[in-house]
Amino acid sequence: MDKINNYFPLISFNSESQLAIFSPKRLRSFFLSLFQFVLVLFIVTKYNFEKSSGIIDYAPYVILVFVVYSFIPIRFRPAFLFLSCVSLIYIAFGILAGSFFIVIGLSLIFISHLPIKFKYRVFIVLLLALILALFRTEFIYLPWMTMTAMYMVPLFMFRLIIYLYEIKNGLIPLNKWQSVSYFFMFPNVFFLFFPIIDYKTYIKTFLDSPEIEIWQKGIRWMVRGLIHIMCYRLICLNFLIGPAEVIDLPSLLQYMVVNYSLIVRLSGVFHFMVGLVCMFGFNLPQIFDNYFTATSFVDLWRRINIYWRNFVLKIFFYPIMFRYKKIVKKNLLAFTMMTVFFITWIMHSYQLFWITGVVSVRPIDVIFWMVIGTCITANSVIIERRTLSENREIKELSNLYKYFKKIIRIVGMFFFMSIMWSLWNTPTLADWIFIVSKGKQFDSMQLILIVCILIAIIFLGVFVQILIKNHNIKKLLIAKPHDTLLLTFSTLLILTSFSFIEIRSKLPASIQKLYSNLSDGSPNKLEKTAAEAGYYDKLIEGDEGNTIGIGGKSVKKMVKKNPYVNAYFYQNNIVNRRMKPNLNIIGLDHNFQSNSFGIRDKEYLYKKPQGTKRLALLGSSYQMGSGVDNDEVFEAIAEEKMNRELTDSINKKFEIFNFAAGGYYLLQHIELINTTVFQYDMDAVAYFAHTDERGKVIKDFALIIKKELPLKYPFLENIVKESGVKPYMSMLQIKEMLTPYSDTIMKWGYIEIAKQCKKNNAIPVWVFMETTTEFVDLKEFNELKEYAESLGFVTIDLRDTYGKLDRNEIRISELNTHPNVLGHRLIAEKFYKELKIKKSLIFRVEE
Amino acid sequence: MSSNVNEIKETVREFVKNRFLKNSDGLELTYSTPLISGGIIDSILTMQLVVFLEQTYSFEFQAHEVDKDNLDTIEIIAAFVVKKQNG
Repeated sequence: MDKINNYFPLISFNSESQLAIFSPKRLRSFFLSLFQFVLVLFIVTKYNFEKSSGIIDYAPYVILVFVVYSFIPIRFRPAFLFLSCVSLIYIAFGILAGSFFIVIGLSLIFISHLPIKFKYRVFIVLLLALILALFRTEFIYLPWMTMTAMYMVPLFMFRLIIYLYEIKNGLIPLNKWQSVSYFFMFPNVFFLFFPIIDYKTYIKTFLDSPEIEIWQKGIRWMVRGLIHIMCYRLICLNFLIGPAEVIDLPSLLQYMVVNYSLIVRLSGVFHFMVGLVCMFGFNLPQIFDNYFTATSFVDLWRRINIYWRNFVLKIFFYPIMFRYKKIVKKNLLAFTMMTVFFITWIMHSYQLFWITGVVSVRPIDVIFWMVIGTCITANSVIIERRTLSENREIKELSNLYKYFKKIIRIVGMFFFMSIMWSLWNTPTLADWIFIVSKGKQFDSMQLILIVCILIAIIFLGVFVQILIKNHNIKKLLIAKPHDTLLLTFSTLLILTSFSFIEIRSKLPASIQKLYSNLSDGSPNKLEKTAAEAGYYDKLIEGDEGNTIGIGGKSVKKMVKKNPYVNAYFYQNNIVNRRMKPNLNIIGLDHNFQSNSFGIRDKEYLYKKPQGTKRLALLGSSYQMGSGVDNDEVFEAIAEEKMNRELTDSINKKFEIFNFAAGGYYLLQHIELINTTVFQYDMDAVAYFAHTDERGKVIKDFALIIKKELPLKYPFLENIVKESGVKPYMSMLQIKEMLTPYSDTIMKWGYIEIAKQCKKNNAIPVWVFMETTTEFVDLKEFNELKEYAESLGFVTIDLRDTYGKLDRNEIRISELNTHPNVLGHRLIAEKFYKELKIKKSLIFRVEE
Repeated sequence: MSSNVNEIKETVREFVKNRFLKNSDGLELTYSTPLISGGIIDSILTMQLVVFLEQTYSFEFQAHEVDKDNLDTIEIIAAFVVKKQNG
């Protein structure tokens, strides 16, 4: 024991943690825990939990690290943990970027120990952070450095603050491996958004209890995490509604309550992560404590994300309190709390910045943190005054009164947090006010139902409390790890057995459906909506196109956050964004060039050569070929094939001008067709439509109104006038007010295209293209097709392009769902076939 | 002036009991009852305990000393007070 303490002077090792590595007792415990750990990772794989983290791909590696780690002498374990993390970084990033990552990380730790004044060390760290921030925002773009800033800083962003704080206050680690393993924490590589583990806790809890207890705690928390994530999926699938679906009081309540309930994903992921760290012998404390049952603001602050609260207390609350206790004589607690909540807001933006690269200063965040901060401060001051009052009387209350009081407080807190959470997770304050205004609409039956549900919840809460009190259930709920072993084990076995089709097929259809819902890892449309707005979802998901963990596959390929940010210039008209001519964007994982006309295409002559047939392609990012090379875009492939196989002595050449660009919809195309397209003497114009054509037009029109762009067309001006929409209204409200006009606008757009084509002696072509994410609405498809045909469009149907292929095979990534190279090849094949069949109609070519 | 460890323990126990546990039905407070990790005192009450210790035993806390390592049980608190008094 003394020998071990030479290596880890700050740790009080538990005597049982020092069992001989191969003692029968330890081996029994180890194999039991290993079996459970394998089951946990098997379930993670089978149920597709947090797929983008990479934990599924590296599950065997995690098990291997756990096995080796558990059988090496304790003094080598921190070093082994660090090296396991480093190996994974090299596997994920390659030698060059991996070395950048590790050297910069180690430099930050080294700087913290430089033999210079502490303030100079902090200054150098801040300077380095500033440089990394320039790379993170892509202000300076060097793929390896940007990648380092993106993936390394989240490992250091809070831990370095804690580490410097401990060094300043004299806690200098004598074992350097503990320091490096703290920063390069093995499980952290899978989840960049990680709980703030305190340094002192990390080193002091290392094997402070028998290993079996720590392993079992880890397993228990991982299982709890998985159950939370399952609950999240079920909530999303069954109850989640988008802001646009809030129409009355019941749907408003549903929107708010479900929004807050989605926090189970955060607690699920965090429980899983902390459990994973426990598997390596760190006896970490609880991170969430039944936060839905908080009875007051202070109680909630105690229960929700406890690691964050402890970090804030340690680094800000106590230092501020001690610094100002002689200056601020009155209301010191209130002053400190409000300052701390102001800092909490800043720290949330800081965290969001490093993980997503977005600088977010939303008024809604300020309101959220200030309201929460004020409530917790007021509650704290009341508690302080109550405890300070010498003569306070303790009233004797009946148990029943206490139960009612408690459940009413729980329901009240839950409802308050639901309101606040919906505010925080709605894109803008105007949107939130608009949604809340829907609450005015309800009928008496709905009101009676809501009141009945509320009363039922209160009585159920009282009943549960009586049950707990009278039947000693509380003891069972806080049972020791050994007692819950059976429960954990059976949960794991049930979940594992469900994942085998042989077993599942013998179960009722409802259970089979439940499994398919629980195991579907791809986020549905509503989840995506929630993720777009939700603070924590943004952190868990990370950037669009990037994964959340270093273990994720897409890490190997550096993806710029806004790859085409410099590809456009802005105009004060409906088109708004136009592609710059003669572009050649470098630093992407694909080439991107535009020609001298400012379209993503090869160079063409301005004047159409004799014997050439020209087709203008009007589309959005799908048709522009977001994420693939210029010559991989389906338009380029189809054009090349047409020129190879369809030309003859009369039709010497086919040219398809790709006018498509990201964010272009029907209205932008109307403007282009009126101003640009026919400059190039087009023979035909192909307009590309997708599912939810009307919805997309409305969303785009609302954005144009919001941006106050000149509408130019009297028809659109009339719609604005008639509908009464104003630019200051929320997007939600504008969209809702425009929706009744969606069909009229869409029809007007099609008429405009047909009219301009007729005027310029060109053939209008309507192409329906299936996206990689949406299901085709057959009714809508038939309506649009029929309408286009009635206006004289030649129609092309590109449905069923991808055949039976899994959608993931034809998408760039899970988050960037544009077609990949294979997707474009398939589209090109079908597009070419259709053009060939309808050649005579489209190009007026004699067969 | 340094105080006897047992006296400190008893004084702190009385303070915690009267100040923080008036409302708790039948909770037994021993010298080893975990105060912070057991959830008996939170950050607000911890600060009251700190002020009490500073005033009673005439020494000053540093911000980083306000943690579980120095304040989790009455035994630990007494040891910390003695350590501070002895400089």
